[in-house]
This record gives sequence, structure tokens and C-alpha cells, in this order.
Amino acid sequence: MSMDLWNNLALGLSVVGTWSNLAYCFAGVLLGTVVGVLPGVGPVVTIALLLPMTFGLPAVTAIIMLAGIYYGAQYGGSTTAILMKLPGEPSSVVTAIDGHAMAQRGEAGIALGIAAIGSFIAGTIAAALMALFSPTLAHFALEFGPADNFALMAFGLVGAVVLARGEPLKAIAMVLVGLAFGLVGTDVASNEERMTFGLSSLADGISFVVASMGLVGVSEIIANLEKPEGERTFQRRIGRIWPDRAALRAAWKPILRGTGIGSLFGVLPGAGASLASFTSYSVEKKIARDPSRFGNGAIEGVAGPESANNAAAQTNFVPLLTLGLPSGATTALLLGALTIQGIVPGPQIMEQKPDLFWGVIVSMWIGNVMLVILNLPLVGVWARMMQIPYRWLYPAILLFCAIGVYTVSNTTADVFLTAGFGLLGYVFIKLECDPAPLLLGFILGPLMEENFRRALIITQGDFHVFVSRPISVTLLAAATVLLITLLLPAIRRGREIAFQE
Amino acid sequence: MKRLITKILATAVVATTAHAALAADYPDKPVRLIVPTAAGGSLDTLARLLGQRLEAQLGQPFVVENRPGGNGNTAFEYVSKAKPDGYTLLVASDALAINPSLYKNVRYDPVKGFAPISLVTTAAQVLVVKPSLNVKTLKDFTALVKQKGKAITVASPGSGSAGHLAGTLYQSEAGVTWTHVAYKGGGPAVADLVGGHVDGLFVTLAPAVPQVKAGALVALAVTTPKRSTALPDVPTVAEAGVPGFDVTNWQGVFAPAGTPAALVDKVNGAIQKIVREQDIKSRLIELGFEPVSGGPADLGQHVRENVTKWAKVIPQANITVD
Repeated sequence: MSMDLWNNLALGLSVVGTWSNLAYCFAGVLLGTVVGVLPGVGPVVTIALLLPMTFGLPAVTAIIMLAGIYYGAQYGGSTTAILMKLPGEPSSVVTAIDGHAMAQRGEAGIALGIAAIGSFIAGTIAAALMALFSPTLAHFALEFGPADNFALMAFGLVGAVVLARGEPLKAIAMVLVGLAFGLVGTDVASNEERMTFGLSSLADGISFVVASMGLVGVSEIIANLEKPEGERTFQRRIGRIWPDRAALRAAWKPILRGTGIGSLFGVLPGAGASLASFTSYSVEKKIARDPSRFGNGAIEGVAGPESANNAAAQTNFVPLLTLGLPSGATTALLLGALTIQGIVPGPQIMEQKPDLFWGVIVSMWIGNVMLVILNLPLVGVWARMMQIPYRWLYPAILLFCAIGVYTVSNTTADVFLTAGFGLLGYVFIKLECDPAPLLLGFILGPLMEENFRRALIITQGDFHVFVSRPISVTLLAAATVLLITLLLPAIRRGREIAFQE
Repeated sequence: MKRLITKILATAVVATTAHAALAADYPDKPVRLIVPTAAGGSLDTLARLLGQRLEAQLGQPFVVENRPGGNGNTAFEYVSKAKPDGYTLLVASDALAINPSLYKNVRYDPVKGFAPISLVTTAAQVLVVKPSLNVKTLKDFTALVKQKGKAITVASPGSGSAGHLAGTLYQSEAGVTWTHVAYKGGGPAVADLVGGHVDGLFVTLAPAVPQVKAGALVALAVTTPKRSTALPDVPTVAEAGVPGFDVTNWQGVFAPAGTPAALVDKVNGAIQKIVREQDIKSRLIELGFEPVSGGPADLGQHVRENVTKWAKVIPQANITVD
């Protein structure tokens, strides 16, 4: 087994270790960082545009570059989430919570640094795990039937309540609002359009970028502009990027836990990858000695989820390459790129194309090193950018948001929707309701409904399926227990006293 | 004098062949290829492949623009109402002919709304089942469904998709009823079938073939009248039990109705050349497509036939939606 590990990694290294592959890897990572940093402009558009150009490249080189754009953009997205609280991907919603709070304290550099270091460590461990257990992981993904997927998401939703700041009841309400927003669009089982008000732009539902940019990003700008110039919470100082000893000591355990959570969730098709960072955050907050630090710039709240996210992005390649299962729009495009190259995902891809499989895995690991090195000088650029007066900066941010949101499906309706969500987000700020649980509900709602109904269609309406399957019943039981501990403040109070003693 | 004559001649030529001149200048700016699905699907991949080769042939960028929504209706309506100047083209497949029978209100006419350009590829669907079902032939499977009825679950990549309709057509032709399970795309459906959570699936070749070759799935029949190059040992539904059964998926390029014939011919000519390129041909086959070279007339006829067919099948099967 360990022989395999070294052989596989050595093969991957030999594939990536050519000048041209390294150069394309770097080009992908650089391009990804740039588009990731621009709010709303995502890797989807970039990869789609570059797809025809990769036609002439060798398959491995093409995928190495496109994968570089994928995780480079995720890192770039974290940068924007930390500095400007503009999350463009599900995982950056989580990063924005404590990352931006750290930025407001003038520790944006450390948040960026720990995100990169966590990603690198997670990438290293995830690559090793994949080298050892890929076939097992692929099998694990197949075990999840519709009922199990539903149970997993139900568990994720209860976890969303943990991650919220403030009242659990408010968080539960926000989850429900998110579920409702998620239901807009075409129903998978019957193909009927629901809650679209006859608008064709809503036929495929509300896009995540629209909801997240509006609720978190635009609302923050409105809230900032409301205050007089002197009181704005916009921090210009970035600080140093290398975390000090204390920061590292606080972060290493969350990084390892995040890696474990991410590696596992990344294998699960569907919402797995986006659940990874949410779950990691909830876990860190739940086991922290002082959960109140979370939301106010806890370094664990950046280190854990960022590591989970990167580990998941990597193990995600197992279902992608062995089952042809994309976890989102970006990986769906990577799948398209693979097929253009004549590589059809399938169970035998690891045996048939070991150079591709391990080449891509090792390139992600090397790409993460490149990201760290690349971001050292870039912090200087961000620092200078943050010196721009806010009255000039915010129109530019809004402009890029509008462009980014427009490019998702080429409709102006999405731009107006983002503005609407911005106003709604502002109302939520005033009501002290955290948008993060709403967004998780929004992501999971439609998937949950889809799997719930699919499970019942398969069993012809027999609800036993949720309790007769071991995975499903375990997850639902865990979700119930978690919900009870959340809803009984008496229990919580009792435990806090116990902790103080 | 000589120059004057050539000038006069040239003017005459220009005047009489304004048509040809129009085509000679076309395209002098980027052309948009509208795709009715989100980026990443097989139709999108096909469009990007075509776009890249069309740019090489005609010298202007062919930019793919995704306009997903309403199972394709958003894009179909958009292109049918676009300016017929050859700078807005549509890459479409079965949904164009299916949707008018499936939805109560569609705001485009699949026949009158478009100027067909080229039938680029056709594709087969395959009926695959999980190995634990212990059936090796379509006949055995049909007998099993007769015996167990709705307890047998057959998936499709989506409600109203070609896979769903192929399954529906088979049920009515073979006189059986199973439980249909809709997924969101072929990949997730294949994964759930491999995991054993459903019993069977009608799906395009690309996601199914590797699983069949690995022995993770059993292929019972393909839906086209001819066997597929990718699965030569798998019989057609027509061979295996229902003579005359034919569900052939298709992918074609359209312009809005009223686009000058000269422009249509020019794009068609370029596409015909592209589909014959060996490189492209082999890649299309790998994507599960069969490259065909059909001009405007072929595509037009294909669409009309499909519209008529689905208008008959869909009401029978009672699967209309809003």
C-alpha cells in the first residue's frame, strides 16, 4: 500500500515536473487568482473561454492549467472575501465571516497567510489520502443514495444554526428563508416552474452568486456608506502575512480537522464540497472554549474552513474522474475539458490514465506552493489597493460585481436581483440576522428537496427508507441531537457553567 | 479603357450578385453561438468545439454564449426573435422539438421560427441496468417489469429529457409501467445506478459507456435504428423487441428565420468541412456523438419529424407541464 503511495506520487511528480507543465500550472494559478479576486467574476467564465484554446495542448497539461484556475480562483475568492467581504463561492461565505473581521482588526495579512498555509497543508494531506485510498473513497461516494443525501443535508442545515452569530431562533428562521429562496425555479421531478412569477430569468432558480453578492457584499457597502466617513469599519492596514507562533498554535488543529472534514465531504457528490467549509466552521465553533470569539475574528474560523475547502476541492476529483460527477459549475466545465481531450471519466481511469490522475493531483499540490509564493508580493498590491479612498473604491467594487453577476448567465435581470438582495441584506443587518445560515439553506434547500422526493419516488412513498438505511438513520439521529442541544438554552447554560468550573 | 471596362463589369457583377457579396463579407464581426444549457454540458462542449473550428474557417470569433433557462425555452425564444443577420446562431438539440409539446406556453415556433443550417451530430441513448438485477437482455428486463410493475425504478437525466421520453415511449410500446425517477443530468443518474439505488436508466452514451466497459452496468439496448459505434455488441431496441423503435437524439445549428440563404450556406459549408476533419470526428465519437453531414434541408426535415413524433407521444404519456 505505501509502495503504491510513493509510486503514484512519483509518477505524478514526473508528469508535473516538466518546464511546460509547471509553466501552465503557474499560468492557471495566476489567472485563477486574478479572476478569483475580482468580485463576482468566477472561474466558470474564464475556463469556458479558455476551453477551446486547450484543444491543442496535451490532455494532462490542459487539465493542470484549468485545475489551476479552479483552485487559484478559490484562493483569490478568499482574498476578496477577507478584504472586502464579497463572497463569490459557497466556501468564501464562511471565510468572509471571521476573515473579514480579522481584516477589520488590521490582520488581513495573517488571515490571508493562514488561508494559504492551511490550504497547502490540506492539499498535501489530501493528495496522500487520495494516493492511498482513492478506490475506497470512490466506493464510499456510491454508498450515498437519495435518502442518505437528504439526511446529510439535514445535518448540514442544523449545523448552519451553530455557525450563526446571535440567537439560534433567528438562525433557524434564516435557514427557512434560505430554503424558500432555494425553491424558486424548475422542479426536478415534474419540470414545473415554481415562484418564478412568469419571469424566464427565474426559471432556473436564483444563482448563488446573485444571492451571496447581494446579501453579504452589497449590503455591507450600503451599511458602510450609511456611517460618516470617520466611523467606517473599513480597515486600510493589511499587516504581515506570516502568522506568528501564537497564531500558528491556534490554527494547526483546525487545519488538520478541516482537512479531515474536507477530504471526506469532497468525495460526496452534490453539495459535499460546499458543506465541507460550513461543517468545519461549525465544528470549530462548537468545540471552541469561547465560541463568542467566532464572528469577531477567530483565526480558527479561517484556518479550518479554508483547509476543508481545499481538501474538498482536491478529493472532489475522485468522483469527478471516476464517476463523471461534477460538484458544481466549475468542475462541470473541467469535465467538458476532459471529454474534449478524449478522456472519458470512468471507474478505470486510474488504471488507464495514471499519468493524468496523479499528474493532476500532484499539480494541485505544487500549485498550492505557487499560490503561497505568488501571494507574498500580491499582499503589497492589496495593501496599496486598500489605500484608495472608499468613495472611489466602492463604485469600482459595485461595477465589478455587476459585471461578474451579469456574466453568470448573461442576463441583466441577475444584476437587478443582486441589487434587490443587497437591500434585503441591509434589512437583515438592521435586524441583526446573520445571512450565512440563509445562504447554506439556499444551497441545500433545492438539493434536499430533490433527494427527499427522489427517495420517496423510489420507495413509492415509504418513509421507512430514511430510518432503514444505516447512513441515513445515523445522520438524522445526529441532526436531531444537535438540534435539541441548540434549542434547549437551559442545557447550554448549564454547560457553560460547567466549563467555567 | 480596359480599366473602365473592368470597372463596369465589376459593378455589374456586384449588382447581380449582391447575394454573393453579402456572403463574401460575412462574417466581418464576431458571431454569437447561443447555447440553451449552462456551461459544461455535452451540448456546450460541442458548441465550443464548433466555435473554435468555425473561427479557424471563417476568420471571425464565434463566441459561445450560454442562455440557460426553462429547459432551453429562454434561448430558443431569444434566437427566434433575434435579428436575422447571421450574427446570432443557435446550437440546439432535442429540447427544441420536444418543448412545444411538453410546455403549455412556448413563445417560439420550432419550424417557422428558425432557418436550419446544419445537422451536426446524432446520438443514441442506451438502456442500462444494474448488474444485481440479473437481467442480460431487453426481453428479460421487460418480463421483470411486467412481473414487478412500479417496484422497478428507471431513471432519466431529467423530467422531459430525451431519456425520459425514450423510456416513456418504450413503456407504451412494450405495454409495461415502471416508476420514473428524474435526475439533474446524466452523471448523477449514472452514479446512483452504479450505487444500486435505482434499477435502470435511459441515458446518452458518454457517461454510461465507461461503466458498461468496466462491468459496473449492463447495457440492454440502444434507442437508435442502427447499433452504435461505441457499443457494437449491444442490440437496438428495434432488434431486441420493439420493431420500428427509434429515438435518435440530434444536435444542430440554427439561425433566426429570415436569415439570407447565402449566409446559411456559408456557415453550413464550413460546418460540413469541420465535421469531416479526422481530429474532430474522433473527438465527437468519444463524446458519444455520431458525426453526420446534413445541410439545411436535412435539419429542417429532422426537426419537423421530431416535432410531429413528440406531439403524438407526449400527450399519450400524459407528461405535460406549464
